[in-house]
Amino acid sequence: MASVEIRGVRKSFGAVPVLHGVDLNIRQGDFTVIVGPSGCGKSTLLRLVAGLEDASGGEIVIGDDVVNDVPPGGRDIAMVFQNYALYPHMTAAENMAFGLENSRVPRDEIRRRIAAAAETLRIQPLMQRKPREMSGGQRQRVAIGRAIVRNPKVFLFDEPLSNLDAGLRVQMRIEIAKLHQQLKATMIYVTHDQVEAMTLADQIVVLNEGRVEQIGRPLELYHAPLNTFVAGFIGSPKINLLPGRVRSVGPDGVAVDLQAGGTLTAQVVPDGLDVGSEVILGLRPESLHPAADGQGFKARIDVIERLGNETMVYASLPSGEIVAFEDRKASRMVSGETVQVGADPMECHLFRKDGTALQRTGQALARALEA
Amino acid sequence: MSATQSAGVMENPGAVAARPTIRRSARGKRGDGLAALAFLTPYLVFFVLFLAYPFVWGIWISLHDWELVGKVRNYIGLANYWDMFEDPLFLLSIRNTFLFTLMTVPAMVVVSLGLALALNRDTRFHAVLRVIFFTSSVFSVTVATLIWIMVLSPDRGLVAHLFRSVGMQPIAFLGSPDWAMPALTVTTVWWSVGFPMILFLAGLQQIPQEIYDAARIDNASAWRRLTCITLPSLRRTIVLVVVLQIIAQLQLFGQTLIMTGGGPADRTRSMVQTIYETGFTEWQLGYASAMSLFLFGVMFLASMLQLYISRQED
Amino acid sequence: MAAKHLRSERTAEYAIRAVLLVLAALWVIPLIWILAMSFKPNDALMMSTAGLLPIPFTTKNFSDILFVSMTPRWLFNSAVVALGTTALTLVVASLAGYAFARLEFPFKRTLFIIVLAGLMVPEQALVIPLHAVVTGWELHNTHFALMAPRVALPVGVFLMTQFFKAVPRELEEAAAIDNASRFTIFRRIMLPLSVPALVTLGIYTFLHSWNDFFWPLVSATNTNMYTITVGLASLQGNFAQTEGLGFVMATAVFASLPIVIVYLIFQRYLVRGVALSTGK
Repeated sequence: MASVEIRGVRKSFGAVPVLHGVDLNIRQGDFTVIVGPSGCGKSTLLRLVAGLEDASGGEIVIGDDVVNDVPPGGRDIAMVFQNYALYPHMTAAENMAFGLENSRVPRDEIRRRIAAAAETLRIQPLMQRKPREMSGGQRQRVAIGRAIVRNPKVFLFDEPLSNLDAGLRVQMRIEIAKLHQQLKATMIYVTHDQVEAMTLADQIVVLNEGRVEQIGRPLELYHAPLNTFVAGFIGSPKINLLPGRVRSVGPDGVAVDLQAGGTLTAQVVPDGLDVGSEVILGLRPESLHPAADGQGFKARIDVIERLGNETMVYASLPSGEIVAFEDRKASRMVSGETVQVGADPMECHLFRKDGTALQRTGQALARALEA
Repeated sequence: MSATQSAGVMENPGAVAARPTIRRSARGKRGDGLAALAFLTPYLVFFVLFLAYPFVWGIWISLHDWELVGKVRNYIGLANYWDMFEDPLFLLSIRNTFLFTLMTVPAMVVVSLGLALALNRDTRFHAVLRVIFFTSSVFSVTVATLIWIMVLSPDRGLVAHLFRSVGMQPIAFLGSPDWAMPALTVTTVWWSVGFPMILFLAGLQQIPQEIYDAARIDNASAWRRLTCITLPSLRRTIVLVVVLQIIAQLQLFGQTLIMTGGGPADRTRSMVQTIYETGFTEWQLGYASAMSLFLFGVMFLASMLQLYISRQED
Repeated sequence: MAAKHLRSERTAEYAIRAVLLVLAALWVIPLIWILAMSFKPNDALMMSTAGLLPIPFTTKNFSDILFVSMTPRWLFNSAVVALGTTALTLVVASLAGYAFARLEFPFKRTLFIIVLAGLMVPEQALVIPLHAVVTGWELHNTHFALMAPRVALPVGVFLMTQFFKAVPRELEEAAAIDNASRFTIFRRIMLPLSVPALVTLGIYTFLHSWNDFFWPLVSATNTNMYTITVGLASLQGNFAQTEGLGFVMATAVFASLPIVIVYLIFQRYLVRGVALSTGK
């Protein structure tokens, strides 16, 4: 087990820059999830840590060593690939033994470690099978087993669940979380799925176009996103972002006139905001709710999705924007109807025109983070 | 924790002092370079000694009056190449080779395509026949020619028995100026129809079944399905087979050497046979090399033709 | 209307089958006939060569070959040359193919193009200077001289390069993380995965090497060094007049037996190899 430090790491493929200088600290034993849309450079970053790519600049430190010039096999890391990358001609046991044999681990030690890993992952019955005789979930377990037996300083996961079907994905996600609790190992996990990020991570790194947008604990990112990108990426269904102008700045917060009509107040530190500044209001679907006349804004209901445990309403504003909100009371709204929608000032996010967030006031944030 | 915490603020005090200098990583390039040398050398030794060097050496030799035994080695420039086109024997062998190619390639394409179309089925009957038609291709030229010398033999051959049984006088095919070349074509088609047939079968396998299903629903007859779907889909394979066959048949050698010896009256003498005799019975290596390079040029043009046609289609 | 359609297609189907059977006979009957002759006594063949059954029957032709002729020696030469060529080709082609497919090194593209250009050079354009070169090295009438020119052909390298390129890169990356050296990756991951390609390449090399005619004809001038393919040709020169017809036929059977067996065992791989060679 070891900490990982990434210092100003850059990477270009030919003339195309993929990473523009990434700094990142990962404490020993932490589960860090790197998340971002496809093409943001998250897999490249992981492959740089693994040594499968050479950095164009910066340093990668594992434990106390700069490993830029150390080949993958010498970095004492293990990696679980998206398509498992099990050696097709070897049985599960042989797959798991391969790395240990290369590192000249004694025979009986190899056998002992494989047995232990097989027990942890409950894959004993698979050990003599070849990958093609296994299901996707079983292959994934063996791939994880291959990583475990190495007893590496750092585990790397490259979208390990994206080839599994939805049900299995949830199950494996829980197992990986359990595994981390059990092993208390340093893990770096790359995914484009913010649900995986939220559920697994001690620390989430949001990456966008080769730059780190924000690093923080899951709820921190959810409740205190630094910008509209992070706000939009974390949370499902997505946050509603509505443009407007500052109407007034007062002790209760910043009141915003929405472009689409209506007014909402957000409790934020009005750092450099003047009346009339263009801003973007961020409203999570679960913060929005039907309101009394005169509060919030008007919207015409397009579609109502009743999922049983929750009811999602999609409605359009006069300006054409679509908002989503949760109808917690499961009231009898019908599509086509126009409703009044409002939100608690404490739950509103406010962003400057350039997308950077205004800090929510201590009280609002504290309440949110407690929740 | 502050919401403004951003990238790189957190510091790990233990790691700050770690190895400040970065050697520019060259693991990808330099390390592989050595490995590549180790992986490539065994093959390259063979390639250079037994292919590249002899090829270049052949060009050098062709510019000389080079006799194997007489130790005559005079540089004569392109004289061998000029001589070639005034050498009636070589001109005749060019004519014969082209004639043979002109007869054999269409026959081969038609027969192999026909067989492939008829045999592209998943039954045991068709599978067994595929094996049968391919089997002759695994014989050496020596065996294939031996079989057909016997089959065509005027006194003991199978065809002769057949002719006599219907009261006809057997023909000495291989001794007849008119029949010798067609006999070589028949032998060649019989011997090597298997490879083009399998190329066509592979091409047929790649046509999606759904297209045929759609055509049936569109009420297309079997003939329409053949001419409007199958043959157009096989166009690339047909070009490939034609070019491969041209290249193969231009190298006609074993059949003439063993079956006719180039006769009767040099009517079946091929280019390669002339090269062989010039080189290894007259020991005129320079002249034979020049002829070889001429043949190489002709075959090179044929492969360029394929490249050109496939470029046109893309 | 539709029924009529179906019926006429049925009829066409039977017609096609009939034509196929006639053609198949054309391919098979000569083989049976030759096989039958190889089991007939020579004096019977002097009288008549007709008949597809070996009556009267004898195995004397085969025993003559085994005990008094050069054929066993030629078969031995063919076996050594074909097996040696195959083994050498598999080793050098898979090594080089891996380098071209997966290693990064200077001038890789240029080198690959030069090697591929070798595909264009036909045997006939090479035989004359090759003979001169091998004469210079005093290698004629050796097994090695019969093998080496075929080992030098780029086909195998090309095939293996294509194959290795298709192996998922992640496997190699996983192995690199598993601390495997380049050679370990090659030997323990890539080679086992390429067994089907190696089998195909091996069979092709074996068949072509066994059937080689031109090069052994000019290189092996000593009857002791003939391969069976050349040896059989040397017997044919005057067999029409000879009384040893059954003997020649039996030699032909011997010459074909090994490859026919190889073919029947591996025909699945052969067919796939042809499909591969179209580059699709």
